Amino acid sequence: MPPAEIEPGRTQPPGHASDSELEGLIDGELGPAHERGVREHLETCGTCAARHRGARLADRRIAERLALLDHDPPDVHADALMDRGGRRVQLAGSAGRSPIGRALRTRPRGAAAAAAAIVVLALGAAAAVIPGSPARRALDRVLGQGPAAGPPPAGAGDVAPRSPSASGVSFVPEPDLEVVFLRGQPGGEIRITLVRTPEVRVRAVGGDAAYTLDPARLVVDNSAASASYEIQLPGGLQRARVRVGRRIVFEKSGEAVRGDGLERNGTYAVPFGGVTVSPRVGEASREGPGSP
Amino acid sequence: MSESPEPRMPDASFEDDFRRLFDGQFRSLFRYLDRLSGDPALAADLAQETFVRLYRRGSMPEVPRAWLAAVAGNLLRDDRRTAARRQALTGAAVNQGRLDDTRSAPDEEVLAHERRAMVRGALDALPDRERRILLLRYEGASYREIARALELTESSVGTFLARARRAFQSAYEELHGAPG
Repeated sequence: MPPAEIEPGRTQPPGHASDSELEGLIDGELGPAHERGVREHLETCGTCAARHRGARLADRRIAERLALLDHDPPDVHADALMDRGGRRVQLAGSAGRSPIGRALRTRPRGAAAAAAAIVVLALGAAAAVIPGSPARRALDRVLGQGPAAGPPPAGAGDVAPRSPSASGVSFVPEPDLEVVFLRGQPGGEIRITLVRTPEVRVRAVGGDAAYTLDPARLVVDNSAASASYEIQLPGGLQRARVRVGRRIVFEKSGEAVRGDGLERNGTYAVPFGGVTVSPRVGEASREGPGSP
Repeated sequence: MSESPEPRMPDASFEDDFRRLFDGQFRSLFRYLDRLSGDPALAADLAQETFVRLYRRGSMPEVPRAWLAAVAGNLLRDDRRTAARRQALTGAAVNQGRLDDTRSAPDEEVLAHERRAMVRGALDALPDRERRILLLRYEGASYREIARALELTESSVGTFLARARRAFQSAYEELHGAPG
């Protein structure tokens, strides 16, 4: 062992490996030449070899003991923290490629981000009631869905504009909110969690969906028949409903909550299975046992 | 840590990096804070707040894991200071309200509780810097990451770590009443 390599943590007499060298060996933190030197020393020095074995045993015991303190981590997703960090609207597909859509998707922080979300919602609301309005055309441009000018499509005044397929959406709702899934599905479920944050967040798991934004209503065009959906609803909402077609599968009124599904660890899981919707949008019926 | 105070606009590439770092490090950061504070609810809050701050920063730090540990550690320190001030003002003892919930528990639960208490006691017996070094190392942080997180020289980490391991073992054995 060259004396120059002995570190200040030495507690052993010269000629033996220091404690920090033995720790560095266990942690894989010695350089190749240094590690080789320490290993060669251990082969010839019974004292240091025994100290090394003791240190390895202590290392394992400390790891085991620290593990006794552990708890399960919270169930939280990166996107939820990005929303908290200022991201308000997440759109995928063509919206991400349009300049304004990209700005919305990535616009960070506070008032500016809130303003962006409000613009989208206000445009959506205006477009819903004013066929051919500039707002509708502007929103189409934002969402990359249509020409920048020209007449609106037939029936444009009946529904708010649709976003392209997106993995999820986040927005600040009115106190009375409705989330509507247009179709029943043979598989998948809707998982609803009440959260403390003011934003509603809806995310498709295992497929994309198209979302129509409106301050008091979110319409989910759930064309991917097997996807499940995660909905985070602000617990402070006075009233909220989740519908599949016309059937209300979950309802919150004040503090009272009721729904078709089971509550597990604070999350209400409502299976899609059995809920069908007639060809006319919004006409739902329940098949099988439990049918009303 | 010297970091640019000016946040940038997050872009798609940063968001991808953010997700990857979150997937790889969130559980570890939570566990580090949980072990450090002994308060899982606080650890959950602070781990999330750390990642929110990273997102608002808008770019990846040079040594992301060290940045996370440093910011989380500062948040915990701030929280402790606030709690201490509150306690001083109200005269309330933080632990006074804790229930002794092991009185009617089965033997194995009592033993497990006692073992956790000894580990907790051994950790609390360490100086703050050694405690953080030890816990970061057992989260798999490299000496370089530990040095950056705690503003040490990399060459001194091994020495501090050896001292921390020894002190932890001694404190545990003292509480246990026998070499462990």
